[in-house]
Amino acid sequence: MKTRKVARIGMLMALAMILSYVESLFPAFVTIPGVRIGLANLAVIFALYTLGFGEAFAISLLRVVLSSLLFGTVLSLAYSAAGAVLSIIVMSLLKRTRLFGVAAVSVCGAVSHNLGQIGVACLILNAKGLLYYIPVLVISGIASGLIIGLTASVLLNRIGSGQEGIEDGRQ
Amino acid sequence: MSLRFRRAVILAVLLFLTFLIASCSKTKEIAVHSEVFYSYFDTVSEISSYAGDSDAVFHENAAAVSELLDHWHRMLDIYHEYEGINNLCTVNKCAGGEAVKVDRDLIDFILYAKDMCVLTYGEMDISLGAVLRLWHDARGADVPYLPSMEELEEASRHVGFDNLEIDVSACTLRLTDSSASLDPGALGKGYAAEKAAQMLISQNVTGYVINLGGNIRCIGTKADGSPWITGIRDPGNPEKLAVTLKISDCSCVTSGGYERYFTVDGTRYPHIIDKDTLMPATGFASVSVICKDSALADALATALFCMSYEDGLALVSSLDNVQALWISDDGSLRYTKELAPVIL
Amino acid sequence: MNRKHTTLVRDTLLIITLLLIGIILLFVLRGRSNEGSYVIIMYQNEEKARFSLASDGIYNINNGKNRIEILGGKVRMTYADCPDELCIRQGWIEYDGQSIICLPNKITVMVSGGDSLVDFVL
Repeated sequence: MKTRKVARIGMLMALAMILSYVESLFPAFVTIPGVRIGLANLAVIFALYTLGFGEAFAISLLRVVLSSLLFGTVLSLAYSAAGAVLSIIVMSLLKRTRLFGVAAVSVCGAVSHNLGQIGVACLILNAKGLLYYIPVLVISGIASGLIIGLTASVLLNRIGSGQEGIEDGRQ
Repeated sequence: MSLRFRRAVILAVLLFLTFLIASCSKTKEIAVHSEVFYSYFDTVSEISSYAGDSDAVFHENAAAVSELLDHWHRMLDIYHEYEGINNLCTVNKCAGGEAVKVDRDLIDFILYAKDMCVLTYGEMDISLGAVLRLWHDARGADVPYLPSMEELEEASRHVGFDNLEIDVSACTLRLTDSSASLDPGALGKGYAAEKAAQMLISQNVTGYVINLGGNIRCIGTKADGSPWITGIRDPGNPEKLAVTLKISDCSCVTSGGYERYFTVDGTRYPHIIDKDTLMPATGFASVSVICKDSALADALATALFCMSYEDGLALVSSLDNVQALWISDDGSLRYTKELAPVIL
Repeated sequence: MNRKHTTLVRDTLLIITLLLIGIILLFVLRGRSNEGSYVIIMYQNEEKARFSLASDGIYNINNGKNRIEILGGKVRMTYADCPDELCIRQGWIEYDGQSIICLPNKITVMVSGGDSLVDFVL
């Protein structure tokens, strides 16, 4: 059981890294920092629903650290880490209420990720002017969260949240 | 709440607090000093200190920079002569005649300009004076006009460093062709800014920025270690910024047709003349060069503005630690990949 | 089926609420980015006058030899008696630290004091 779990964690971690890389290939459509599709969150949400909070938290944080080291700067690590941490906590809390579906959880995750990033950036750069980006980030967070959330929802329905999916191998 | 969840939340909060504390120590307000000069290089210059030093120290440094800029302004002025010194105006006036004795540092400038001319495949050429003079007159006329191709071609025959005899040991300059002249416009500001920066650096001054009419030379970082944020205007929409860069301990020079230009028959023409077409350069809306040496940045910014993107990119790539950013007329942005981390 | 339905309803409500918040914020936060900013008029290096960037209007400065217009958080030179009128051609400025300079009249119009990200504009 444990080995399977470790393997699954590893797989999702790798998936998160790949999605992160794929995202870095897209040119920034808008000059506002933080407007992105958030592909890697797909792996994080999947982990949250199939493994649990702790594992999802680890994958999210590790992904952010590694991809900042590989594709970004130490400063971007600070922003992303803050966003990722806030995001996973929000998503987990929302999930625990058992009131909402994957899509809503994902949307809240994406929005809080953006807000966390801009909040820390604001503090570090001492630039309150950045706060004026909040509305755009909320709206783009809803959009990206919705896309990722719906995709995750479909995937979870098909692949299932139990161990059976991997154990069987035949489905 | 499970134990694991609680632990994770505590860890997260601790991490967040660490970041907060780390960032708080960076947000002390530094007193910025600044002084503006209006009389050098036909533009506005500003020297600023982000070093948190005292008023007295700043004014001392500013005065030293002012004196140095004044010196170079006079040396490189081709429209006025100054009593007691022989500058480029003197050299131009004596074209076809006797050798002119000049200061050793003017000789050094000429030698540097010659090297830059070779480096930029002739795109940045201070010996283009005869051609540039025609354009200067055309721009400054009551009704600006375009000089005729015949005039320009005739003037282009009096161009080139072959016409300039440089005697390093005697410190003299002599233009052998009486119609030839030197015009340091494409290099002057950058060179002067770099000289000023080097003077400050030799005195262990850091955290200063010299802004010579848009030619930025920053030394070190701000007192709290943070970089300066420079915005480059969107040529199509000059009130907006196309891109912002984080720079420290380097120069940033932008050549563009959106600030200095002249209009003939409703068409805008930039200030920079392409030596191949003898006409104002039309390849890009603006080109910015970022590298440590301000003189190099100035020379390259002019050259790259006149070169194709591919040639420009090849030139920049062949040099160490030089980055560039091109903005085309259609608004598209291209830049050397090492610039990516400093783009905000 | 029922649970899925109510979840869907709740999800949609939550997302729409967030969307509305975002849209409201969009209007609330717009146009306030230069609150507290000033337009500082300097002759040579001395401050001669100061206007709030929020007070729209046309103002004579430098004894009427120059005129500025403040509108919508931006300022520009609308008139100058200098020969080249480069200062007028510079158009609108709005960011902290940006300035319009009338070289012949030795007038600098500078935006200052607001919360801003940019140190220099090229």
